[in-house]
Amino acid sequence: MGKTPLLEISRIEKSFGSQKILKGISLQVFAGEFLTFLGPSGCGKTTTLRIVAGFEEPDKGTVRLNGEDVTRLPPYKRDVHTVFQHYALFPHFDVFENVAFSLRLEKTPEPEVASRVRGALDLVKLGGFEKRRIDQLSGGQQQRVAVARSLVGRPSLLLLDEPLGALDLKLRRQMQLELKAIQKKTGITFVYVTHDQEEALTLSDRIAVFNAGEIVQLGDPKSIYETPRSSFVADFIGSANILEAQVKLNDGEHVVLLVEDEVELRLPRPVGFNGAEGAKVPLAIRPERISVHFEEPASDAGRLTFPGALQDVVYLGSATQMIISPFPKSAKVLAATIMGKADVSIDGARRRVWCEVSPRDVLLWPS
Amino acid sequence: MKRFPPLLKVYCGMIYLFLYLPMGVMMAFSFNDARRNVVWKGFTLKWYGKLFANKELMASLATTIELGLIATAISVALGMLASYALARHVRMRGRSAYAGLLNVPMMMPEIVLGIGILTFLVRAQIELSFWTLVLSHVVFCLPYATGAIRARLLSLQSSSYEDAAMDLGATEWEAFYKITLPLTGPAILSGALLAFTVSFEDFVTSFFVAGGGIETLPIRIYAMMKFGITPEINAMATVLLVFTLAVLAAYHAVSGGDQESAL
Repeated sequence: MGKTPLLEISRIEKSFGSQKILKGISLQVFAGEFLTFLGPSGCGKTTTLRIVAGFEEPDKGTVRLNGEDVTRLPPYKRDVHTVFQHYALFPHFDVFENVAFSLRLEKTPEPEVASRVRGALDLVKLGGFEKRRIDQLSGGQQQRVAVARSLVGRPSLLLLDEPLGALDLKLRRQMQLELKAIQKKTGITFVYVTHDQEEALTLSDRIAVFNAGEIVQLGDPKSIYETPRSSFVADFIGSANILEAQVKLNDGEHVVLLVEDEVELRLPRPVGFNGAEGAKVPLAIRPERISVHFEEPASDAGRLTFPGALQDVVYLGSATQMIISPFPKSAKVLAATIMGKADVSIDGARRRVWCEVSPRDVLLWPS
Repeated sequence: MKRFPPLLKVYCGMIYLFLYLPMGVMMAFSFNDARRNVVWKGFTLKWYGKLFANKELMASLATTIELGLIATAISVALGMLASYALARHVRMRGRSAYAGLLNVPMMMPEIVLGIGILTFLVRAQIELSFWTLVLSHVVFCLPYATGAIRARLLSLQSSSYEDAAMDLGATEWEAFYKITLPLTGPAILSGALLAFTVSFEDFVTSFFVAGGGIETLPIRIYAMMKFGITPEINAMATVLLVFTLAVLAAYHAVSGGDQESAL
């Protein structure tokens, strides 16, 4: 992309007291994008958002909006609006006055205020709620008012700080789709903060995965899910069985790994994998990429198989998860997810099963 | 519904009788048509008439109200500023020490406060006057004025209202007077009512610090009582009681029923 990024963060650092929260964050966001900051709590994603909004000043680094350095500008001089986690709707104003707040500050003429507020409320499907008091609204409705209030001023960038965190699961799913639709319709760039990986995968054009004050991976949802760049990302996005393996052989062509001191796997060397012989490395396999067989499968040169004992079957509704122990000497177990209804029962004794994985689905990382 | 055992009812009744009977007797005798407080001689309002005709007493009442209003205004203004700073700068060094020191005058024995202020004023060679009285009232009114305001501002801060206002284009000042100030209004009012009541009824500190012919109402009443408790004093006390109850009711109304937590 050759154009100027709408938002450019360069080498942002921030400490609170002796604790370093951000250790050099750099990122570009382009106009019209839906970008998500994803990470566990305390990873620095919200602090980064607050720096972009202007509530915090970074110790080092710059924030540019449309090429202009805004690092030291107060929030009210930035063309950026925020949807807060707990909405921060003004309780002494009704819905109309909440949405009209930014327009009134700009001394917008009254007829225009009325029509723009109506437009914003229609966009969030709250037409007719103008005169309601804030405490008369449900959580989901408050969320919609907060979005309308931030969009009515037509900012070039909208920041959303875990906006759906307070809603129940069903409403959250519905609002995800609506937010995505609003973003498409208005063309406004969204930067979204969440710790919910499913939400990030559903909504985003690109995801920036945060951990311990750094962006550990930046990419579209598919590349982050399929080719996580570390065991942290593999574990955080989706779920993964994270195991420890010792490299027995690495001849450039193939690698042989001894997983959890028990199971030996031989596979073509993944691109970039440079684990030396004898080294201990992390290895990950996603639960839905493991097939489970009750009879020993016919050996297939391309696939990896190993036996295990079925310990438990967990019913998940749309899927079934099997807990398998392929490593009798270790406490580590493997989770394997079977979509649909699996007709399995463990009658008293543990049952013997075979796990089958494609070598591509064995995730390894350069050290 | 679980029924109260009769004995418990009697017990509870006795407690309330013990608490309120003295005040009831006092109020009743303020309407008694006799110089002495012993025998009921019939209903009269003449003590109230005498009360309001007593120039010295009325002058001291005016002083007390004036003093209370000024001390309350200063306490609320200072309390608002201090609370605002404490609420906004959560990471300030020594924040909890500042917050704690703001409350200390409330716990301090009043006699210590009175002696302390008097000693200071004498050492600093400041002549006792109405304004030294105002100063000392501010000292002990401040924690009462501040309590509710600080609690309110802290909860406003955690709701990010000011952040939201500034995010939407309001300057610091606009965010303060359009959002924070209106939302703090009831807390300011309840803090002010509390501070005024505390100032109005203060005796000990005022007794130490009042000088130059300044007399507050409680000091005047004390002086009158040297000649025995007259029906006039009963009438005065009744007026004060009704006034205090009215303020208390107003305080409950503005603090929306959660008065126990505010105190």
